[in-house]
Amino acid sequence: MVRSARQKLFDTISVNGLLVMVCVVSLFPVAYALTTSFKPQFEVLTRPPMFFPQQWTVEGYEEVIFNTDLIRYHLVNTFVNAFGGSVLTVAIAVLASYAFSRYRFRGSKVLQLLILGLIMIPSLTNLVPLYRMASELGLLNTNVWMISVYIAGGLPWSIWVLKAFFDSIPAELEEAAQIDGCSVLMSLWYVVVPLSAPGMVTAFLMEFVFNWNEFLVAVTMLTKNTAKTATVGLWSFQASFETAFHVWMAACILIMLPVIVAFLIVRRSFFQAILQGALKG
Amino acid sequence: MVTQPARSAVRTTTPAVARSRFNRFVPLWMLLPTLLILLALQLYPALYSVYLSFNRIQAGNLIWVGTRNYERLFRDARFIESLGTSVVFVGCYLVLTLSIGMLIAVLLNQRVKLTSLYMVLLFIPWVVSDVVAGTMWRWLFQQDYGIIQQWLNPFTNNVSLYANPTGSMIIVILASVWRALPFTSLVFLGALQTVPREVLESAAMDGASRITSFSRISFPLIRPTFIVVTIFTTIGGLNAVGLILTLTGGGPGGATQTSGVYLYKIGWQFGDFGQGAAISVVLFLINLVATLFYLQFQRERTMG
Amino acid sequence: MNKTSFSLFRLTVVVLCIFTLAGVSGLQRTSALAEKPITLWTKLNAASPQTSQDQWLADTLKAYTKDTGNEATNVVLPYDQINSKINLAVQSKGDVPDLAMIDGQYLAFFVHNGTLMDLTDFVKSAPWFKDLTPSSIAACTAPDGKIMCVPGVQTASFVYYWKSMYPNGFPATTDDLLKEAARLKKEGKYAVTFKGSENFSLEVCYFSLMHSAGAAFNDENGKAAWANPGTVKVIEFVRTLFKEKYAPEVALATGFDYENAFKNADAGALLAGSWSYAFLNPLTAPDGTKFDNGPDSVSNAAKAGKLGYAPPLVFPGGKPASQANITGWAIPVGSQNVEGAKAFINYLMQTKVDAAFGVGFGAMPAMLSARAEDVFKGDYWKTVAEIQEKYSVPLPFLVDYDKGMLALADTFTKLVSQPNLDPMKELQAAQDNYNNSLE
Repeated sequence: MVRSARQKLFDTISVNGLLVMVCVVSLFPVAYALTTSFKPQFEVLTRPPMFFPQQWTVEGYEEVIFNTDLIRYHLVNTFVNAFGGSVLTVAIAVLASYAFSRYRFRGSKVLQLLILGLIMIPSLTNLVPLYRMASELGLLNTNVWMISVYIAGGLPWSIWVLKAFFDSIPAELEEAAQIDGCSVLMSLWYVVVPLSAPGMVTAFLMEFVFNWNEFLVAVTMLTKNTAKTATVGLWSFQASFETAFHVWMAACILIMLPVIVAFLIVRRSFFQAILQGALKG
Repeated sequence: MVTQPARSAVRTTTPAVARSRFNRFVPLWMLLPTLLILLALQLYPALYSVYLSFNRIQAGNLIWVGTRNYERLFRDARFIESLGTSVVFVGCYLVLTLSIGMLIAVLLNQRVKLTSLYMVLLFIPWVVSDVVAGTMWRWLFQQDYGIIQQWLNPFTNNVSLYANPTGSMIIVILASVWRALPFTSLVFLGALQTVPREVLESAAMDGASRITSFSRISFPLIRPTFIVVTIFTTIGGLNAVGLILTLTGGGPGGATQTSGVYLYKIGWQFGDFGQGAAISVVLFLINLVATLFYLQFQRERTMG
Repeated sequence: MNKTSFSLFRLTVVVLCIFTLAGVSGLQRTSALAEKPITLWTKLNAASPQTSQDQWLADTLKAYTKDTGNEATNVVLPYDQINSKINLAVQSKGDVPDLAMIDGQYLAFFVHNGTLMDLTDFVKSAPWFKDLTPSSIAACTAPDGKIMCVPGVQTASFVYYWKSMYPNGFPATTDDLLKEAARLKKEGKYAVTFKGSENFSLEVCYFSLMHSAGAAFNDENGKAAWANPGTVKVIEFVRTLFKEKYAPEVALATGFDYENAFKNADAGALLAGSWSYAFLNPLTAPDGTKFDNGPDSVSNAAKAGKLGYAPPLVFPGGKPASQANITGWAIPVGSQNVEGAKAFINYLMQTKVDAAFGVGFGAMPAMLSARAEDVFKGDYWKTVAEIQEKYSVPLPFLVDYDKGMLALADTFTKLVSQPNLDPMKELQAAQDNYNNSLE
């Protein structure tokens, strides 16, 4: 059944139309948050609510930037935790995935399943024990602990993604390098890693976004203001800024921006990796 | 786990150099950091939680109570209720995410001109945090000032969705699906792209409609991915707390109180850490059962 | 990726790693340096004050350091986290603060979990003990007679109302309210707004209704006993309020959105209490006058004759009930600096300081000498003092207070949003469930 030109036009219009609709729905809450963040206080609570501000102002942002610790401490902490966590997770996961992918040993499959099975544990389960451990080690309110917890949480996913990636890279390439005199680790670093860059970027981005947005662990472990992350700081705003939604939304937008930027930077690799089948299982 | 068909062409045997006796330990070295971290920060806390579920904490001291926490839990109508709420939530969440996700993937697979732009825009909900998403959606549906509530007022006869048990459940499901769609669609898209175009084209030439070719050709080929996504979506739905907590705090009168939210309330708000740990164990077992159930599906199909 | 861009990529990664490591060590050092004499945990943002409450703490901490030379550091936690975190810290023998500011309705939670230190000896032998009102001490006393906290201020629940919407004053009983509500509905306004869900609803709005209807919350052993005709009467009334749209539905949702209706004069009255004082701004009177003076908005509106105060709502023949509650200080088990904490408490328990506490919170100071200060002679304060004297009733005694109150509150919400359910049956089910699930 060859499609006629008219049918093709109908197809294009309907596909584009549906996709536009989906995009609008996806973006709407964020867009509304964005426009709300530019409203002055008296325009925030209006009946009927307006989408666009009558008067564009940055007072919400000023309030957040100058009167709260969001920029000074919270976002910095969030960055340190998220970046540190994701880089280390990927580094450790690369080693583990390589081992699983290239070596056959007894218990390999079982171990992989067990590691993946850790995802089934509800996130709240480990909070109290982890808190106890942290306080005994004196690591509450530190970045080191947060990063460690994030690594532990992110390893199962990352190993799974990276292993699938490594599996798709023929072993002949590193073997060639090894015959030429490279050790296994060298061949990993110089041959496999560059080839699997999209997979590593994927794992990195997934972990980065997840750690950046993480809330429950952060709110439990972090009490001191200087140690809090952005999501925890935002939650603390509730009591302070009850009806100042424009300030809330300004804070939300500021928290989202770095992640969106990071995402835009690496999006090609990310999409490429997933479309290549990094997550097919 | 099911391997890609293309991988059979790739040799995964141990490299020649590594077969020497010394290098047999290489995989162990490579796995060491992972194992250490996972043992210390995932396995140990989990086992400690299980231990905690048989205790009660008072003034910092653990008091052994055996299975009392579990007994009390299963006698607690509110817990049973929360399980029901979880089932409803996860059910709707699953159905909507999978179906709409698949639809979006199919649309993106058509490779229209602006596809890369669409993909970027579609991904925005994924980068938004639980707390931020909860805040945003709450703002949208606020009774007097929420913009979507305003638009819906003529249809709902001015009833505020947010303050209504069913309404708040709808909002919670919508918000969760909204956040889950980007990733799901992308994974499905990846899977759809491995369906060879020639097969589809020849089917089209044989007169198959697009729906038929999807259900008879594409879908069976991507079934493994579909099952994996289902597993992860179910687990995510059962464990999800952040979004619901921020959005409704358990809903008007406990209407959106899933087991995850109830776990938070028991452990945190009431300080009953022992019982909280018991709920965690129960939730884990439910996750496990669900996963095994899905995997069973997969095994049956591949064998049959 | 080609070679150059990959090397660049690796370089960027290394640079960012160095930055991260620097960040980690730098920030850790900062937090280590911040450990000084006493640490308090409160809900108040003393670092950048947003309300009069925050401002009071900021001023008091500065004055404390100036007067005594001791350092006191405040850590601010959100109101919905602070109690859980204190409990978590104590139970995990973790990062326990030296001193914590607590609200009296959470005392039962802390007692149940053994979180606080017994302060009976400290309080009874303190110089300011005789100066405290008996009801404030009672609000700090556990069922076994031990004093677990030191009261700072005493709160009261009452009604704020717009005089122009209730020309004959706020209705004395629920019957009168229903009549006025019908009138206001015709004008397109809500009669009342209040917190209608979660524990808070039972401690404020429903508290007075329950007591005046003769409904009991509990029995003498701390078990639930709320399945009685009095409670059913309250539920019927609340159902009417929502069904006829005399109260906004948002009252059933989480958060404080219900206050907006009163702040914008869409509702004639707000059933709340002295704690709302600091948060009710900006206010817009029914005639459009705006009061945007921060914490003074309420008193300005009252002075202008637009806003009035009334005792809590009751059923005919009943007496209003205002929760006998305090905001005060407690020392968690495991506090590292008990002496320092006690010194700080002694500082706070001075007439002038306690008076300022009262002013900042809109509540009456717990110290009688502080109450005698001139500032408390105004209308608002007279109302609060009068309501406390005449109508204070202690909060219900339930063994697992939070769990029980939440169960009852959720039952209320459920019954209101599903008008076809039988109140007695649901109440009984919730009651049995709670009693059976106790340890």
